[in-house]
Amino acid sequence: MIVRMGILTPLLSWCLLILVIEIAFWGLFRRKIMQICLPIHGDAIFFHFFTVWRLRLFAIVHTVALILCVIIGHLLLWP
Amino acid sequence: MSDPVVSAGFSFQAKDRSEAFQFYFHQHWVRLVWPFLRLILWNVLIAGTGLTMVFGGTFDEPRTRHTILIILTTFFLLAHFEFLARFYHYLLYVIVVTDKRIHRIKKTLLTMDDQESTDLWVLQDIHKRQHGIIQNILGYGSLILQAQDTEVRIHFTPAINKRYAALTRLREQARVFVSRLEESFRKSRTP
Repeated sequence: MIVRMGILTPLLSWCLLILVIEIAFWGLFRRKIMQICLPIHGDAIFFHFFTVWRLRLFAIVHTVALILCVIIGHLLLWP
Repeated sequence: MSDPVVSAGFSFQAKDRSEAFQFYFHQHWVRLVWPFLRLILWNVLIAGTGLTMVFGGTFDEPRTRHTILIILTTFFLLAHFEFLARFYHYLLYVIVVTDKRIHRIKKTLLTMDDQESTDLWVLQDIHKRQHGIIQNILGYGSLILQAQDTEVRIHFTPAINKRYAALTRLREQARVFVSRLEESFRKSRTP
């Protein structure tokens, strides 16, 4: 249990780093995409699927997936 | 959709009030295949190394394991953020076609914010190039727009036959519109 407690600091640091980078990426991306504007109704090509709302959801899912992978990796490999 | 970005309609940077939006497109999805494959390769490599550590029992010393864990996590995150940045860059490269102009908007997250607008009526030639089996099967290729002094190359254009036909039609419409304007201007000047 003492050994497992040591895992918390690196895990929290990694999670914080992931959050900061994801938020920074999303903020930069949103600022740029605001000027372009993706329409929601258009001819049915693949990329009309990516509205801003769906991209935001994608960013959240990506963040959660990364955090989960890092947690699982640390739990498996921590000595 | 309540998002102000989406509900703002077809407005984009440098759009003229008199322009009517026709269509827009990104590059073909094939542009993301290699970055995606690279991401998968990195993941397989990192997972393989991790599994070797768990089941192989090669690195039992805690300090070594800590170091390897830091290295693996760093590479894992680098691979993912590199792909994410590429995906965002991919979405930030847009070609917007209106009834008067073609706008090529190319941005990156930090370093680039380019826009190139070409009048449709000044285009002398529009070429379509599809070389190779993959381009012909997936229906993408390069559009080369030639004006008097400039040449605009739009690579990885998806559904290129459809875009080519649409651009040719819009160019003819723009030329007719400009010639009518010139004619009415000439008539108004003659006594």
